[in-house]
Amino acid sequence: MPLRRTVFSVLSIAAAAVVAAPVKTDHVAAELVAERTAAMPGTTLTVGLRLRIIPHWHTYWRNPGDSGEPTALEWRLPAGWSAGPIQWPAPRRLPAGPLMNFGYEDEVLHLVDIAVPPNAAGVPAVATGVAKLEAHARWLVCNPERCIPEEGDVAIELPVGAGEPSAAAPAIARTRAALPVHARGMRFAATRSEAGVELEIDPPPGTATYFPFEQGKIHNAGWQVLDGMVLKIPKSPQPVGAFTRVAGLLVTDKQAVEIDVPVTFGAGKLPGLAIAALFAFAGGLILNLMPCVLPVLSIKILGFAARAGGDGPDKVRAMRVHGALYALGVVLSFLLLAALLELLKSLGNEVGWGFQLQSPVFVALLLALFFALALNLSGFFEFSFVLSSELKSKNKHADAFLTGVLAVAVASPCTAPFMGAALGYALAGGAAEALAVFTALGAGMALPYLLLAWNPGWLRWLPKPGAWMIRFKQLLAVPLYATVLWLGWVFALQSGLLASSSGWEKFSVEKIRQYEKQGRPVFVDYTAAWCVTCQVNKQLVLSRPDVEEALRGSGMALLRADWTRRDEEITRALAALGRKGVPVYAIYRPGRATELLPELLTRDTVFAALKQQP
Amino acid sequence: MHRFFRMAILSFILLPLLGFAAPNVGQLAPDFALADLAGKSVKLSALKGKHVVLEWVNPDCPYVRKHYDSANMPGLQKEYRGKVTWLTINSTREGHSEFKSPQQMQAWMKEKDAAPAATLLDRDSKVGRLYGAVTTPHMYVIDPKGTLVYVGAIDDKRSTNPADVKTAKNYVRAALGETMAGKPVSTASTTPYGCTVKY
Repeated sequence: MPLRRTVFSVLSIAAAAVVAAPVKTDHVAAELVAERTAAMPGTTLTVGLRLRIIPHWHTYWRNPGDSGEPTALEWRLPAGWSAGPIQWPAPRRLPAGPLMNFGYEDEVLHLVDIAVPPNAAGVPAVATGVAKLEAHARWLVCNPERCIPEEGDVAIELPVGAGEPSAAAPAIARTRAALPVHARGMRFAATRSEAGVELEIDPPPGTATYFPFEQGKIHNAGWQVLDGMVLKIPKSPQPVGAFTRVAGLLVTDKQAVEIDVPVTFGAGKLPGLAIAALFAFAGGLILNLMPCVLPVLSIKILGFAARAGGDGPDKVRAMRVHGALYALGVVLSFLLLAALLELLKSLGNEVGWGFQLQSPVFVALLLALFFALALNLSGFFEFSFVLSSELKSKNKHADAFLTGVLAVAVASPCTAPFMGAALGYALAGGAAEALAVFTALGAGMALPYLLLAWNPGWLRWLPKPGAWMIRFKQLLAVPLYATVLWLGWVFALQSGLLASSSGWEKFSVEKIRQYEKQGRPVFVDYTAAWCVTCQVNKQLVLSRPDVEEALRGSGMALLRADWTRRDEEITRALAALGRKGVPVYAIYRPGRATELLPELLTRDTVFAALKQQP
Repeated sequence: MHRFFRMAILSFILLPLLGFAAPNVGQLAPDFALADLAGKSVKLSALKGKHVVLEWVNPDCPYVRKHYDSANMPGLQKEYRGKVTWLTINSTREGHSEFKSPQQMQAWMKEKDAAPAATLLDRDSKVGRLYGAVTTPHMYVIDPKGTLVYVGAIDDKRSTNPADVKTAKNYVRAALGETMAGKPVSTASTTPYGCTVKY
């Protein structure tokens, strides 16, 4: 192995001073520096691996790009002390012919937080009052011509005590200030395009470069063009997996921010909106054929026709006014639903979507509502008596309007299975989109009634109400009953009637810390009973006998963070991972960056992640 | 329709100029002809009906050395000798300090006890660019119909440590096993790792 250089460090010890032993290779001078001259028990001490690289050579970022390997640290710390992951500074694009790497030239400082335990001086290794922090560092150093893997042992000795800012403190502070931060005050949206993904950045920066955390998604060497507020990111010519998230760093002329934006199929754009509105309109039309609505339509119109009697111009006019008011009632009711949805959404944005289902009261109410709707569809009782008894309002106009409102209310059990697409679209888009889609839905539903009010003769073209309607309604009840069962299960878990599954320990941040101290990696399953994706992953992947066995045999501690009920600790742990919702699958490895598995688990991804052990 | 054809023709003219229109799994492997170390031309299209492996190599790359010093790559080449046409391609540009003459390449392959069907020199890196080869090693598996069935890394241990070979999952062996049994390749694309191809 002529190219492999192992370099040993020589340590010199001087009391009460930060002593670092630099490691020199042909291309890099590496040393460990600390922010303070001593380690204070019960605090966090920031240390840094400083690599001084000879000109035109570079080391790598966490995603090295087309080739290369990220710098890695293996810590040897006194018992009870623990090291966090490397805090990667924003990298640079380093072209190599037609290829592209992401890394650092000249000098880079990799910061790591060291947790100093309250009894820091109490462990035998620190008996002399001086703690030795050691790490085996491995880095690949390259120029456009060649690559050399290098490694070395770096160390620093620190007395335990208060100390003061060290000579390295300003450099560490500068590096920390320039570290990527979570994007605040910026809005992002990503849509798929022919060439890759278009990332909308609001407010638009002067320049922008995207560095993905994951390999195999973008064309690393491809030009990222910033066109106004849209950054065009070309996709990989040989992709590995689908490009579903823009997750990584966005380096602008102002700052480096960490982003995680789901990629949508062009929803939110104007042509998309027109098509969605068209579909909603068609959906509204079809709603009239639903067994919940059809009788209303027939009975009411027949009623009008009968009452209207002859064809006198007054009668015709009265019917038309009636029809128009009914239509108005329908459309306004849908607008009300849209407003309600927007309200829920704005709450959801604050707390994470699905949050409502964390409240047992809300779940119980939803359960009762869905159960009632399901019973209604099965024919156990009818809402329609309200309509058939006629609203004996003094005011005929108010009567027509209210009938429209009631028609929407009565139609809602039938709409549930058909509104999914419209709801999804409204949730993904903004308030204007939601209003447009729901207005179209209402217009579609009101149109046939309006037409029939104008031309009562067309009534004979409608299907005759009959036994088929009942069977159809009963069929529609099935998914509702399924929902009721699922909500019942959620409720049971929330109220502690059912114990959560075994084999996994209950999550706590303290436990992660303890295992990390033991040098044991931890797998955390952030989940919730109401999260369908979580349950799918659990059933199809995590609960498979072979996966369960592999997990147990991996030596990893298995923790389950159950977010079914509101839990501050879990919410904070999720936020630390940059997530607002579940599922999240995280592997915490001592001294290494926390690894996140994809939201949709497969057996292979779990196995691949387990293999990466130590 | 006319517009569609115009676009199609235009892209056929423009794509090679862009230089990196790499073929993907499921697509036909583009044809090429390269001289082997004895100067004999090897043409991919003449190998239709056979399973073909393309391996990008560079003797000066620590990642390539990992797989040759541990006998991983030569072992794989021998394991499939006679069943698969294994083509080892060096796309290091002539003029680069790591470029190897046919004699140097021959000597190195012999020293490592390598056994591909042919070792090919891609002096102007044309075939490397044609295939979008990014790293050494970068592996491609082609089925008898000429379709790419695997593109990516040699295995899942992205390191220069020869000891990792023992515990790694070898994607090429897995892909060959499946495609030779007439089954679809379950892991058909992975991110390759190694040194950059010296274009």
